[in-house]
Amino acid sequence: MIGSYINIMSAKIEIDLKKKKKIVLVGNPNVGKSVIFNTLTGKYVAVSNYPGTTVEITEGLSNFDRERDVIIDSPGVISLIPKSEDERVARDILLEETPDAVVQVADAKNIYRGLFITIQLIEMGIPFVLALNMMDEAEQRGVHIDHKRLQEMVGVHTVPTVAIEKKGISRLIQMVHKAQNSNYRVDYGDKIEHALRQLSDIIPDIGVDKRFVGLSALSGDITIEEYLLSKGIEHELIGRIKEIVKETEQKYSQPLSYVITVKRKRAVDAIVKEVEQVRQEKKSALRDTIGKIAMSPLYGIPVLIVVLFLMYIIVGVLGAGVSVDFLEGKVFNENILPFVSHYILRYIPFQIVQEFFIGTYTGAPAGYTGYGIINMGLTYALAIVLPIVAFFFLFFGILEDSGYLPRLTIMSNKMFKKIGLNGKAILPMVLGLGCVTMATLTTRILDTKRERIIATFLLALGIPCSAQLGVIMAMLSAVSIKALVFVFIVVLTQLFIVGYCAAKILPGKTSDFIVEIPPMRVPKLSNILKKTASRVKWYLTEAVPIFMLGAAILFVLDKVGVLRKIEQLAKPIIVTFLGLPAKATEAFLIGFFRRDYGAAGLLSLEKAGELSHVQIVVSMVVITLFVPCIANLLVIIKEQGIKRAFAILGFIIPYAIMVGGIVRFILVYFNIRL
Amino acid sequence: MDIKIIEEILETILRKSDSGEVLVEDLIREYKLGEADLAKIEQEGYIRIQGGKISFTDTGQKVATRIIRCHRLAERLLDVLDISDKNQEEAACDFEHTVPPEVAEAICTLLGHPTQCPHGKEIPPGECCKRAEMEVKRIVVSLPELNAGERGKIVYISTKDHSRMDKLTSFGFFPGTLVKVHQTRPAFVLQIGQTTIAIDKDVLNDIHVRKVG
Repeated sequence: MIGSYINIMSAKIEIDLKKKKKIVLVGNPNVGKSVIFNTLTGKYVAVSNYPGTTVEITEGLSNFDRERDVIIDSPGVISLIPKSEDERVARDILLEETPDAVVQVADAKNIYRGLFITIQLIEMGIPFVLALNMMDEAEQRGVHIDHKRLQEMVGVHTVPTVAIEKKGISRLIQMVHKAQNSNYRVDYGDKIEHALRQLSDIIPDIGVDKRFVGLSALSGDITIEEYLLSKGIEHELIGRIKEIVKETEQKYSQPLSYVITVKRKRAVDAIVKEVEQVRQEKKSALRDTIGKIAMSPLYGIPVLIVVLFLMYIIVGVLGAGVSVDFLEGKVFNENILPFVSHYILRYIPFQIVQEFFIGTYTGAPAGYTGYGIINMGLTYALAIVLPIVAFFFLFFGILEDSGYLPRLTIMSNKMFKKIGLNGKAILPMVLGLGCVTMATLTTRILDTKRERIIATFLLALGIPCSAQLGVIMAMLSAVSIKALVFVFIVVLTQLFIVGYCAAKILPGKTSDFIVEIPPMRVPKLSNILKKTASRVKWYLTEAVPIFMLGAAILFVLDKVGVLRKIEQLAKPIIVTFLGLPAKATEAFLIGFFRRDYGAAGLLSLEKAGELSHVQIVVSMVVITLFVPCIANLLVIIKEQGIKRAFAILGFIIPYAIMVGGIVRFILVYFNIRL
Repeated sequence: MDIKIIEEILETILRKSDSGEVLVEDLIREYKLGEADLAKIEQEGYIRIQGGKISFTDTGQKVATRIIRCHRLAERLLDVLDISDKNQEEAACDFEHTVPPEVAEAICTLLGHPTQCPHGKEIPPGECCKRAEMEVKRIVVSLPELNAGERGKIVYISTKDHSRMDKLTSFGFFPGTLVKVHQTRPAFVLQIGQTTIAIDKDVLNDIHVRKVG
């Protein structure tokens, strides 16, 4: 999925010449665009009603027209004059992909916002159809839209739909074939219209509506310049365009973009007045009340605690407990591994190659040990991480579709402001509890680079992924609840301290916290399952190979003797400074390749009675603060670049050890019993 | 010479000075003033004419600023009261001559010390603004001053930050929009039409509303 996003950015989509049409979906966030995408396509790729998270572009083949049409879902936008990366992507898709038809999805109860985009689509000269979605929610709130009159006024086919119930979809498909543009025009006033005429005269034919290009330039859109250059327009001409813009700017005391928006707003108001009727609001449904409670200052926290408890049950008990035990124990250890090793031992003569695949058999109960790509890499990825991560995605999908997540941002905003972020950062943080690698990708929803760096840093530093979390909790509860709370507090304070300092050091300010809160909805199980399936698929294709690669690297390092060397070098620190047994070094090293295994390595030491309580606490603190797993590191390199990635790494390792040392010192010196 | 006419001319000069130097010939050409009129105003001590250029004396500056301030405050007041554009200009022109300073201060306080007229031009601050007077009961308040459950109609948004302005506009924050405050803690949650929006308090400081119902 990420791959196809990159492909689209370089406009290298392979088009089968037998394909009939290219259809693009456009619309505000939270309007059910992705749901419509799914009703129009045969495959469900990824649904996220998150503004910004839908940066992944989803493509699919139509389930009509004998599957010959390509349907592209674009990111939710507020306007097609881009102010963010998402909006730029959406606009570029419309410009570069030259779609045969566009479907604009609008929220029927909020047509005011949708009409801004409708007008811009008309100005772009693209043939499209307007889908008025979520008609049921509009009716429930007493909002009635005269869609026939709307169709008359904007000159584009308008179809009311309730996508989740598949209502209106067949009519929508019909109208897609009849997509058209319209003659509707907004009058921007003499001065701007004059400038638009001037601009139209000098802009050559490049396959885009000149009025749209003119309006983009006047609205202060800098990206349009790049676009024009890419179309072969000379610098001189661009200079002339800029002059005209400047001249026009001086005729107004307010910024041009504002003036243009005001004119559009008046046009939209006129339409809304004629087509929308709001009757007395009906009584709130139960879910509206829940929605209010979930974000209230009084009950918000208790609701959060309930949600966290549910997470513990679903991910911790069902995922980490039941499923892992079953998969690791029954499926892998008792069936798959013996089966595979039988064949490996038979057909592969060299011991070293055997070990490369399945490690060494040391008899029950440990079974296969060593760094074989199957016994370690594959087993770990499929039997341990996969079930936990799958359940987590399931849980997260429920949270998303219910509309709870934006409410969570409200409660976390104050806290995050102190460390240079805003409430939105809670989303990658929560996702990090499932899989830090995926969470790092989600930092894209944050508006500024600075916030993305801080969030990535904190995720790598102190957020334990679900695999690790399970083991940590198991180990610490063997000590005492106090120990668990203690470690939790230590890690939390580290996150705050580092976040606070990072916010102070990095230049720039935090972006404004403005988030739309959608109504609470009852999530549809089929949607959640499909979403989870696609995320699990992502994990299988992207993360599993990395784990196997990690095991392979460890294998080589072990055989070559490098592992032992590193152990020797690290020993003084681990033993003397942190007060842990020498064997713990191996656990930390492995922890880099698979965070869970690091913790599990310590768990086996504990089970063998080789760790005191203090040592357990110290090692848990260090392992939580320690480096991200290799998959996470690779993603950080991809998102932030190699230099920053290694800077983060270079800070985290000594820092984690230092904090561990201090914790040890405090526990021993003050003789604190946990 | 009628003081009203003098004040008008001074106001014109001050406005023109916004876009650069004020030349005598421009004034004569554009506003059909006579050289004799300007000479008289110079005599009265409001302006200085040197080499065809006009500059203010201290007195002249004060008078002109006061006029402009009253004019634009009046514009703002009439706009808040929803008086149509046509009547605004005439009424504002009258106001600027007849409104005594204390009344101007009261109106300024009433409106919450606005910094811009409806056309976006700066309103020269007065004594009351400097003291940030809060005594006269204000009908125009900044949005964060509303309590949960209250409603306000946006009168003006005075942010200089373009990107913030764009973001606010796209969410529906606009002069004339009705905003309902759902809650104020831990963050502000507002309702505009059918949309619910969570927003940080700092961002709202620039939005000024008139309490409604």
